[in-house]
Amino acid sequence: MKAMVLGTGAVGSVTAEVLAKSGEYDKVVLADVNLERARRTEKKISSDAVTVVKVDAADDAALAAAIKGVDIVLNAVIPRFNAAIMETCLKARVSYGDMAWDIATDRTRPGEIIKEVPATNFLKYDDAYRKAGITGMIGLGCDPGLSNLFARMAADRMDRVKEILVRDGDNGTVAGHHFAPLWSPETLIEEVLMPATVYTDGAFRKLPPFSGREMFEFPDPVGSLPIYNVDHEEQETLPTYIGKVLGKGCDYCDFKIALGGEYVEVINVLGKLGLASTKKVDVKGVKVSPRDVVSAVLPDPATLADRAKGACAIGTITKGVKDGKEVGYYIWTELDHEQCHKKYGYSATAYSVGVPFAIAAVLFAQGKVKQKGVFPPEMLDPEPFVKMLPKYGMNCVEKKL
Amino acid sequence: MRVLVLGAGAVGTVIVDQLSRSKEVERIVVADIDPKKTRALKRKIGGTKIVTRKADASKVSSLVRVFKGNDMVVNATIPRFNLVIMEACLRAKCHYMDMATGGPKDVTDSPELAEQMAYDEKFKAAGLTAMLSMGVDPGASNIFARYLANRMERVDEILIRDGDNSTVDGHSFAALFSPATLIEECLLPPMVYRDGRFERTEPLSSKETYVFPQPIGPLTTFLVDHEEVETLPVNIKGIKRCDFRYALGQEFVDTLKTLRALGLTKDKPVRVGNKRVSPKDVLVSLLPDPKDLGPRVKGYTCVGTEVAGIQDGRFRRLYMYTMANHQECYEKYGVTGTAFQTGVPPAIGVEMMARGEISRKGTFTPELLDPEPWPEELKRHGMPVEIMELA
Repeated sequence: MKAMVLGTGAVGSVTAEVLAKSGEYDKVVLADVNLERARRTEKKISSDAVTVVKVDAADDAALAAAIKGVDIVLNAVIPRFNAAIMETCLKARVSYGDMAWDIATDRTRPGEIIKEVPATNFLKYDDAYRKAGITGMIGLGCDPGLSNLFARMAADRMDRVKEILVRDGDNGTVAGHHFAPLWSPETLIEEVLMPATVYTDGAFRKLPPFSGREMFEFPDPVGSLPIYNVDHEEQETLPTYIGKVLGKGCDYCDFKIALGGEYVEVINVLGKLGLASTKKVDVKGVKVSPRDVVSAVLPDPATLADRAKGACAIGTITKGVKDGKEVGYYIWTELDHEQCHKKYGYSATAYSVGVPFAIAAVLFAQGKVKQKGVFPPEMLDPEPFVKMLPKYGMNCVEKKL
Repeated sequence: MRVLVLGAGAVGTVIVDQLSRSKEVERIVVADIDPKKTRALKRKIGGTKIVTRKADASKVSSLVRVFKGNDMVVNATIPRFNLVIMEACLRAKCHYMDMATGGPKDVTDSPELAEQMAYDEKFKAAGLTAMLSMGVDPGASNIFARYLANRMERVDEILIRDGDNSTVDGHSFAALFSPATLIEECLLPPMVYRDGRFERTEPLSSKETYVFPQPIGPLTTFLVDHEEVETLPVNIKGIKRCDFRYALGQEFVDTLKTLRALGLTKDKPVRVGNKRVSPKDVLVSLLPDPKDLGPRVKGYTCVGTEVAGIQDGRFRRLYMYTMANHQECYEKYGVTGTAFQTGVPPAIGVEMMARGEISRKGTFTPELLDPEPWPEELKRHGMPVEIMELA
């Protein structure tokens, strides 16, 4: 089997390393527009299975040429290129996987019903992928990804599902920084300032930013943190796939993330002053987007991994009915920033996304992913997936509610 | 008297407007790097006294050519150019006046007061006067300090209090004067004078409510680094305490602290893609330009000096102040109350020079002037002055 990991940033490097050491792939091609970066990852992995190639993900023709002979492309570049990469894979009849998609394309205003969730832009390739006999796994990281699978695990034990609540909490801090997102600052600012999608009363609806504040008791050592509705991938697919495709029903689905007081203040200030805007402004003759300037002054998350302290807990609460009785499960995965960096040399944020992404590819190579077509993570069988997590230092903990 | 006003911004406009009506001034040259601004100013004020010139405040030689033939130069630009303009005045044999000083040098790119004061001997030798920091605060605030101090046997404290209750429609973070200066001023460690010693404190700390005269009332104030604190304790002997407080809303302060923590108030350029840009310039570019705020600024501005000491054998605490209504100033003069208050004292200073009422040579700050004629002069120019006894 031959895999291509497209994009060798933090997540791509984790995925490539797991794949190269899995024994399931005799070839792992590291593709990046920045060949130096790909070489650094190659050196870190130091496996005969790994080769590097320079490819610009934005150049369809170059990508088409590079994926010849590849069995699966694992897309770890920014989500902007997903649709084009999926098209290229389709034409070449190469299977595809990614771990996030662009949810910012929807312009529905708070209080309004969303006509078509952005996930449709990718799920629409389902038929074509089926006909081509290839697999397209989308949103297969930690959240989305594991969070969807946790919902599926719980749903499999129920006759009917009522609510699915995804909860992402991180108490990680970086000494010496007031505001140091451990995830791409651009993505964080965008996610938090955008109206959040929530599924309720039979429709996907938009809420204003910073809606639904409540305290949530994350498992120790993360602890109690304030959480807010945020726009995310999970709530775009779970109500449809768990509810309709799997026939379990789903009355309500949302995603909430923990944001400390200083995050809320920072993001509010950026929004209020126009600093979160991507529209270019003229600054003494130089045209720049204010959000790019904010990113430029913030510390690069890649440089923070060795200094982050704390832990993250990402999980899903699923409530429903079994044999006429109300049941509920909270299933989560937890990772300590310091330990993760010490043990694997990656930030917990990148590691927790890169591992599930790699596991999906390992299962694919083992023939355990049989489906063709394009589908979200909840359509995979969760059992073999979750069983593989401890092998890579990730856990899956559950609590009956 | 022939006067040259350098800088055709809001304050320059007020100065020219005031001088165009004074009999002591026969000609006013308005100079700016932007000829559109000077032409607009001339059109707006009218009359036959105004002449426009183009001048680049950063080049001594070009300034000397423009200054020659004038008796006095009023610097209504930004403090960065103070020394260049003083140097040009010496060479062109003109008296000099400005409204603000820069520094500290290690944080800002503008010269400190001490560097300007170092020109004292040169101005004296040339028989010229250089009046520094002659706006409203610093400026009128220094004169108020001297006025009240003259009436006391012993002066203990001089506290400058600047409060503004205005709101700007549609903006929660608007500055009524240069946003770059406001941000810089608020983030510098403020100098305070305590028990006979100068100290620097933490910026945006020491929150205190100050009750301004009606209709403003109580406002939250913060210590801010300001010119007055540097010279008043030196020139008004024996005081124990001197500081400057500026009224800043809690939301403004929180916002500014957040921006500082993020590094968005830094001057030093950062790399954005293949370009380099100063984060502070980006921030300023997103804020409203004070000159466009005009009629949208609603409320009052109050600048005053509280002096505490012994008068007729008894301890008294007096606040001498001037207040302006932003909308009224906009209707009458087309500028905000802040620009109006800043432009009037220098215009009065020019008239006093012309009448020979200011004869002191060399460089000095306003508390060294005779304060006695000032309350009347300010009133005559539309700036009422009041004295209030504090409990």
